[in-house]
Amino acid sequence: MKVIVVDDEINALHGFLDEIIGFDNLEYQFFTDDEEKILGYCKNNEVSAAFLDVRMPNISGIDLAKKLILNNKNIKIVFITGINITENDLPIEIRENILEIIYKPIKRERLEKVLFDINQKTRILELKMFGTFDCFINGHLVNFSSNKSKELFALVCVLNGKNLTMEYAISLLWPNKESEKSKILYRDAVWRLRQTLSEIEFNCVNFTRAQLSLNKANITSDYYDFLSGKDIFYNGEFLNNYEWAMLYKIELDYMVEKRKNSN
Amino acid sequence: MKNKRLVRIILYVIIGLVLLSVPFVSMALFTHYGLMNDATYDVVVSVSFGAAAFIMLIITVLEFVSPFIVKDASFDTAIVALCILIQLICSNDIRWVISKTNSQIPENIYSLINIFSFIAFCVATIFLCKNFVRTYKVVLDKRETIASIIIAILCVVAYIPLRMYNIGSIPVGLAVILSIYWIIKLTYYIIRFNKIDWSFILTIFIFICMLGALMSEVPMNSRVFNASNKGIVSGMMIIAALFFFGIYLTFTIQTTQEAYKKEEYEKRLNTLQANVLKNQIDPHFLFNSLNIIKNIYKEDKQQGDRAIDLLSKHLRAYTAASNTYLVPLEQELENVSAYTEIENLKISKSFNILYDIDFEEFEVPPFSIQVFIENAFKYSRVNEIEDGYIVIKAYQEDGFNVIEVIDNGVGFDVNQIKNTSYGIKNSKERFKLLLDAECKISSKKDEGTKVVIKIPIKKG
Repeated sequence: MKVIVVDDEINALHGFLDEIIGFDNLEYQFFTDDEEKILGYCKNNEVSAAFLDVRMPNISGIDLAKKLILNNKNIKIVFITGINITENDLPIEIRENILEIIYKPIKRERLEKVLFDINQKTRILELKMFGTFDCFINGHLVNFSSNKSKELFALVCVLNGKNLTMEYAISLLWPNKESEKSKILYRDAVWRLRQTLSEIEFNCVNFTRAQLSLNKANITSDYYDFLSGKDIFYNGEFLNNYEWAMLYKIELDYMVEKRKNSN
Repeated sequence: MKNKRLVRIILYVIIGLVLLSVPFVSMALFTHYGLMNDATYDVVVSVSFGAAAFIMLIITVLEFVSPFIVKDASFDTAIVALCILIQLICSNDIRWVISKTNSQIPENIYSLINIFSFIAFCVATIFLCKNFVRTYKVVLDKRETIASIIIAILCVVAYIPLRMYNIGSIPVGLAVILSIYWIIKLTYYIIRFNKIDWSFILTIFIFICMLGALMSEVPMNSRVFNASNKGIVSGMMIIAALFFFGIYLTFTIQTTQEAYKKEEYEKRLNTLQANVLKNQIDPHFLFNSLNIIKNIYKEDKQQGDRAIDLLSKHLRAYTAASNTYLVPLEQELENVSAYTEIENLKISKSFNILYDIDFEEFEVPPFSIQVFIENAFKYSRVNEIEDGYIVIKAYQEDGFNVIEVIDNGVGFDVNQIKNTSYGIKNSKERFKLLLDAECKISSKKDEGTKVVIKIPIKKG
C-alpha cells in the first residue's frame, strides 16, 4: 500500500515517520509543499492515501486534496492539522474522500486506526487474563485512567458477552461501601472506561442504562481460547489482581481437572 | 371554551363596525339636523383626505427604507400602504379636491385614474392575504391560489375595455367577490387554528375600508346619502390609515425593541466569550505544565506522551471555544478531565475526582464547569483530608438537565465569592444568557461546597 505524506515542516515529517515505521505492508513517500513533485509522483504511482497538512506556505492542503482527487478519484485523504476544522469547512467535492482529520500532536492510536482502515484491516484487542489482567491494542499496552475502571473492564470481559448489571458490579468491586457512594463510584468507573475505550478508538463495550456487555468482535484472549477448547497453557493464575476473580478461577480449575481426567 | 371565543370574535366585529360607522352616521346626523353646513363638511372631507394621504405616504416611505424590520414584511406593508394611498388619490374625492382649485380633470384621464384605483384594490388585497398566510402559516392549495391570481389579473385587464361599454362593474364585481371569498376563507382558518390578535382584527377593517372605498366609486343612490358620495372615500381611508398606523406603530416598536435586545444580547455574549478566552488559558498553568512534562519525559517516554496528549486536549478545548458559544457536555467533561489530570501531575497529594454521569446528551458553555473545578482545587483542600473527593454529577430530572459539582472539603463563606471570582460570575452569566439556566452555590464550613446548575429542557 502506497501513501504520501505532505507537510512543509520537515520535523513534523520525521515525527510521522517515528509513528508509522514498522507498519506492515506500507510504502510511504514524504514531500514538503512542492505541488509539482507531489502531483508528478501520484500520476506515476498508485497512491492509496494522502496524509496532508492543511496550512502550508506554498499550497493549501485542501487545494492539494482537490487536485489529487481529480487525478485519482479513489484516493483517501487524511488531514493532519493543528487548526480546528470541521466537515463544513471542507468543499463538498472532496468530502467523500476524507477518511479522517487527525489533530496535532498526533496520537499513535488515531494514526494506527486510520492506517488499518486504509488497509481495510481491523485492529485486535488482546486480553491477557491468565496472571494479572492487561490489555493490548496491536501490541501496545492500554493505559486505563483509573484502576477501578480497569477492574470493571476485567469483570465485563470475564462475563464473556453476558450483561453486567450495576448491582452485581457493585457487589464485587465495592462490597464494603455504602449504597449511595458505591453507585457514584460505579458510574465514575463506567465513565472512565468509556473515555479509555474512546481514546484507543476501540469501542467494544455496549453501554446501556445500568448494564454493560462486551462485543467480542476483534478481541482475542487466552481465557476465551481456553474456554473454546484450544490448547492454551493455564498456569493456575487468573486475574490475580482481583479478589472476586476467585469465583471464576474455581470454575477454571474445575475445567482443567475435567480435561485432565478425560485425557 | 369555543363558545367564549365565538362571543369574543362577535364582540370584536360589532365594536369594529360601530367604530367604522360612527364618522358617517354622525356626519349624516349632523347634516340632517343642520348642525353641519356645506362649508364645515368640506373642511372635514379635506382634512380627512389630507391626513389619510399623509399617513399612508409616511408609512410607505418608512417601510421601504426601514433597516430593522424583516424585509418581506416591510415590502408587503409598504405595498399595501401605497395601494391605499393610490385608492385615495384615484377616487371621486380627488375630483372634488381639484375642483376647488378651479381646474378640471378630463373625463378620459379620470377613467384611467379609476383603473388605477381598481388595480390598487386588487394588489392590496393580494398582499394582505400574503401577509396573513405568512404570519399565521396558513397552508394553501396551490392550484386554487394560482387560479385566483389569474382571475384577478384577468379582471384587471378586462376592466379597461369593458368600462368603455359601461359594463366595467362585471370584472369589478367578480374581483370583489373573489377578494371577499379569500378574506373570509383566511379568517376562518385563522380563527380555527390560531389565537386572534389585534393586528388581525385591524387588518380586516382595513380591508373593509378599502372595499367600501371601491364600492363608493359605483354611483350611489343620492336619496340614501342625501348628497353625492363626496367624502366617503376620504372617510374610509382616514379610518384605514389610522388602523394601519396603529398596527405599524405596534409592529415597529416591537421589532425595534426585539432587534435592540438581540443586539445587546449578542454584544454581551461576545464580551463574556472574549473574557473567557482571555482568562482561561492561564500562562502560569501552561508553563508549569510544560515544565512538568519535560520532567516526566526524563523518566518515562510513554507517560510523557500521555501528558502531552492531555495538554493538547485542554488547548484544543480553547480553540473550540473561540468558534462556538456551546459545546456538548461530553466535550467539556473531557476538557475538565484533562485539566485535572495535568494538575494532579504537579502535586504530591492528588485530588480525587469522580464523574457521576447519568446523562450527558446536552450542551454547556465551554470552560463553564472547569471554573468550578478550579475553585474546588484552590480552596476545598479535599486532597488533604481522608476520603476527600470532588464529584461531578450530570442527570435529568423534572424537566431540567442538571449538573452538580460537590466536594466534601473545608467549605467557605459564600458571600466572599460574589466579590472575587470573575470566572464564576462569567460562567453563571453565560449559563443564564445562553440556556436560561440558574447556578446556585451553597457551602458550609468543614462540610463542603455544592454547585447546582439547572438547565431547563427546551421542547422541540
